[in-house]
Amino acid sequence: MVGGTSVLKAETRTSWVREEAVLWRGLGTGVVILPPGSDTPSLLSGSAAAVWRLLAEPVDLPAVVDRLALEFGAPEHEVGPGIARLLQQLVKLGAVKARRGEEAA
Amino acid sequence: MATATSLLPRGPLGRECWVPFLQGTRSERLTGLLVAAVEDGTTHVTDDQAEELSEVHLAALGRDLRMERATLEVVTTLEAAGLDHRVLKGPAVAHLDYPDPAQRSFIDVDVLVRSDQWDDAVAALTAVGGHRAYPEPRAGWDRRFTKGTTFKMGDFCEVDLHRTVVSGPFGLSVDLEALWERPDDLVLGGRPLKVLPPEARFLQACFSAAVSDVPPRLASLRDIAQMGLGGKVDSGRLARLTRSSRAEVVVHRAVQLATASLPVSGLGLLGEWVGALRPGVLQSRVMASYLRSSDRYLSQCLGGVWGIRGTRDRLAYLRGLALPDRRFVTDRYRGHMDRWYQAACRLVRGHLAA
Repeated sequence: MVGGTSVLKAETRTSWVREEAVLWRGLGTGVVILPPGSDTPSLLSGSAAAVWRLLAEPVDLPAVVDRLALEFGAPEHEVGPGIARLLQQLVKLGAVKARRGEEAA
Repeated sequence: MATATSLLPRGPLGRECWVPFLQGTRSERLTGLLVAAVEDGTTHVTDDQAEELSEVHLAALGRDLRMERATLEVVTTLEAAGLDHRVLKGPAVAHLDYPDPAQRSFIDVDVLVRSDQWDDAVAALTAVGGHRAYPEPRAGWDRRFTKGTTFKMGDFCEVDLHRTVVSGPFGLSVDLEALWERPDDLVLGGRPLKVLPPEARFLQACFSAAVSDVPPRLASLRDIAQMGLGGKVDSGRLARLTRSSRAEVVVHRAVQLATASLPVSGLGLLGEWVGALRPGVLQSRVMASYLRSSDRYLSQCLGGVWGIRGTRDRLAYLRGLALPDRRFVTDRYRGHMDRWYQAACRLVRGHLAA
């Protein structure tokens, strides 16, 4: 899981937070989001929804990984790369933004 | 707050009951409340039913979010034109009066503008592609007398531009200046918006329940109970607004309907004040024009004279009703005489049926 560790190290100084302009609703344990520029709402479920809920305030990747590993009872090295990919997807969707070099929660 | 516990089954419904129940819940826009009832154990559903409910509610939430997006676009247009406005109903009530906005769905965009900025607001929405369904009856009519007009924006979105909060006589008697005072704040998608104060939101919910839909939608009745017990409505301010709007009979009827239909044991101090209301005969007659089984539109038009203050405005209103512009008439009638004849026939039929 070296690649996963590199991803975690590279992202240490970056914090992640929801784009303010995203409209969203909770649906059970899931979340429905409508990012700006998108006409179609997206459903985030499972760990994706859990990540979304953590991003109300800026938070760095290791903190997200810690929380999700605890919540889902999975080792951090298994959870980390998936969350890193999810964050990139949410950035691409316009739902989340990365803040480089800031103090995070 | 009391929930509608006694109206929901405890255990899962059989298939023959579940299907119409879910359809009814969807059409009444109550899927959010049913989901909440399942989640907190008030009612129980099978796994398959939970999945079906989740699908239906997901569609409702998607629509709510698209309507919020459309609301923000309308607000952007009005702000760019320098026009004062208030976001009405759906988003305001969902976010400010319900514990979770997912519990309160809505299907369109409603925005209030000032009467003296009405023409500019229409021009602003038209300029961005809005298409209104009907022209105004006479030049200048809408900014003085209309409840509002609906714009089609794009393929799926309707925007209700409001000058007042209900159609007919009560829309003309409502204290418009008071609606604009003490706005509440709502942040939507990071944007600060202005909405009606709690007392005006409650009054609008009363209009919806008491006169706009006959019989009332369950969601409207729930709004009244939710707001009435939510602790935000100030009884004194509501009393002043109701009095200045000549709408005591509306609030009285709306609260009676809500407390009779939902298992809530009154609305506390607010309910006591409402219970002590004694609406006058004239207001009750105006209310009756909304509840007629036929010719509701015509009787409300005629009853509008009651709602208007000032002789000049009343005469202008009657002139507009009697002699609208030709282009307003020829869309639906062969001419003025045809329109008057058909109106007279409807009045006579309605009178005979009563």
